Amino acid sequence: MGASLHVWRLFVPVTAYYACCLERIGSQVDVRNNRRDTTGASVITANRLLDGRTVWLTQQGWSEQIAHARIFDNADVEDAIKQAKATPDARKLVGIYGVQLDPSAAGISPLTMRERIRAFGPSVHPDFAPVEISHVH
Amino acid sequence: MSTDTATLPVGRYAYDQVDRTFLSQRVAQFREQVNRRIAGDLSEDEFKPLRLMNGLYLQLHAYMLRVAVPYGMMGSDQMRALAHIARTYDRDYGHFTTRQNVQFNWIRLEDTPDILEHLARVNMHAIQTSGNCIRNVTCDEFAGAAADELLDPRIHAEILRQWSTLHPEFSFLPRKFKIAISGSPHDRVAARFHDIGLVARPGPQGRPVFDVFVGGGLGRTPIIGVQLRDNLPEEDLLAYLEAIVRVYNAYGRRDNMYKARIKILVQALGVEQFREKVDAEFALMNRADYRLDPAIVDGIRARFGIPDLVAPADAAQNLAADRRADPAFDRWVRTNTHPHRNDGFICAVVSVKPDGGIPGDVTADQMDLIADLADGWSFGEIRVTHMQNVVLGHVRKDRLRDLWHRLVAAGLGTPNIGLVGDIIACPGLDYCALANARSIPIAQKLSARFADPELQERIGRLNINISGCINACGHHHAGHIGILGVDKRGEEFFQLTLGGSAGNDVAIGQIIGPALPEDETVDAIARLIDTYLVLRQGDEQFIDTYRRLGAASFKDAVYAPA
Repeated sequence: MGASLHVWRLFVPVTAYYACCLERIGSQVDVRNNRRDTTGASVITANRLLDGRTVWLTQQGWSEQIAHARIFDNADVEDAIKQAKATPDARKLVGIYGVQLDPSAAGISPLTMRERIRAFGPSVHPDFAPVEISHVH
Repeated sequence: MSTDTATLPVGRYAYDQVDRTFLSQRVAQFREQVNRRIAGDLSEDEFKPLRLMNGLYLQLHAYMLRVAVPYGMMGSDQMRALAHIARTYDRDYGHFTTRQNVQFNWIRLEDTPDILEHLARVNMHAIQTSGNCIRNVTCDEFAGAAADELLDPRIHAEILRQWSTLHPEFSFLPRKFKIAISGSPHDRVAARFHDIGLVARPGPQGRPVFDVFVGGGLGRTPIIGVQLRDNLPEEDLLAYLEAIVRVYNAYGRRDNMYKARIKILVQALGVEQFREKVDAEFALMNRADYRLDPAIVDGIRARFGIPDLVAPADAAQNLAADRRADPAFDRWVRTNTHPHRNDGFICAVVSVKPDGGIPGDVTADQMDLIADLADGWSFGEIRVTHMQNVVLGHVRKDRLRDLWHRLVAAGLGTPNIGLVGDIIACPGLDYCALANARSIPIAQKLSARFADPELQERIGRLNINISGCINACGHHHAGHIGILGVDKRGEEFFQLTLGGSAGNDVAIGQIIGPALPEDETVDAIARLIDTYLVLRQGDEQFIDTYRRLGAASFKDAVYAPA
């Protein structure tokens, strides 16, 4: 293979440069998705580490069904998020944050389209709507 | 040269044992990183750059794995591997992207090392499909086949792939960096909308020369690239590109990610000053170290399989007779084929956009079928296009009708290439963590509304591009009609742009007015198209009518009361 230009062959294994990437990492949580009004109610969400699925904090743990989610007053949700991040379960989750609910919705439904899609699945694939498989516990 | 060149893959570079060993080591490395993350030894902040460098994103519902398809070329064995991954690890489908890659939307972190191992078995990977590095080099989907081509760009695309893969200087650029290369005078790669766009042609003594465009891009700040150099000799290709990326690496902004792309640097410095810096860097380089010797190029070329283009003398006549015999087939040939350099062959474009379907989505069964059809009709070679379709590049003309029958039976025979149904759409808010609005439902509604093939042909060439956010993965600025999803207090609105083009007549689409609510957008576009049909003169295409009349003629139609 005399014609090789493979730079990669000269630099395997390649891990050293990753260290300098770390400073570029932003928070997993997009600020725009963590906004809420001073009044109203919210639920707490995250993605599960192992499979990335969307989960919601319940009284017992974390569920794939937003219908099981524990509801917090917006005044209390920041403290609840801090508590959730401090639990052992948090090691099995990515990006814990709060989601404001739509007060006019019939059931538990997020205010924003983005979070409704996270809660109920891609609108273009109703067959992919979340189903309860397991809790984090 | 290793001994494994007996069965070279047509149209792409044949890996050797060194390549395969590297990929195997890389998979083992990532497996260990995943294990450390699951065990809690790595935090998400520590792990995120590692997974991104292996193409693994965390999206709204699950992890998304983006698999590299170098310059859009793959073989039937690789497509079957993708089908296996879709079937085994995802939800039975994959998604072709506007950078000629493949994405899987429902991946589990714990499965990812096994998936990468499966990919490595067919010489595929997901390296540098994310991160602030040089991404997958894109290429003309008709490369090596098109009648209008002057030079097959895939050899140099492969050289650029090898040069840029894990390049130690360029793994932490200010932002991502995208290169496209074409060997045709007709720009089918959007060369002037790339960080670097290369247009190759034969030069003195038949060796290639390159026109180099720099600083183009879409996203938040759409800019048409400027020509930095013409007639760049082949031997200086790597040195000159290295000089460009070095200047960008040195002067590109790192304090503001929205101003970090090379296009912003070129605009800030001005093209002359940017060129001076590149030339200065170029002059300082030891060019002998970078010299792309013809022997090196020929060595890379020697690892590409070449199709044996032998067709019966009457192949073209047979195709003509088939077209006369079947109007539906004739329509598909008109819309879904491209002239081949060999008169006995033709390029067939497989539309991955059925009426009302999701642009770019392909089921595992369809992937397997495409692989079978590639084996039977096109030397096992498959091309993914930046329009989110698939090309079989070398189909014998007298066998085209048989291919079409098979495609139609599998729902892959929609005659809409280049027409209103051939909509480019990013995954949008249905999947993407960055998106503000859903792209796919708008594409589906438009596609269904204009499903009638006769109507589509009457409307003529019309590129509709939809992006779910300002990052512009759907290339909305380059669409004749561009649609950008925006968020207004958590609800979706859509802003229309008109007049964009990614070809030789490159142009950035202009915003026509205020964004529309989701439920009014499709009707507004339908009125816009109706207006064009009334205003067009003769055989004018939409873009011609728009350029003749300007936006005002269409604005009233878009904002007419429902």
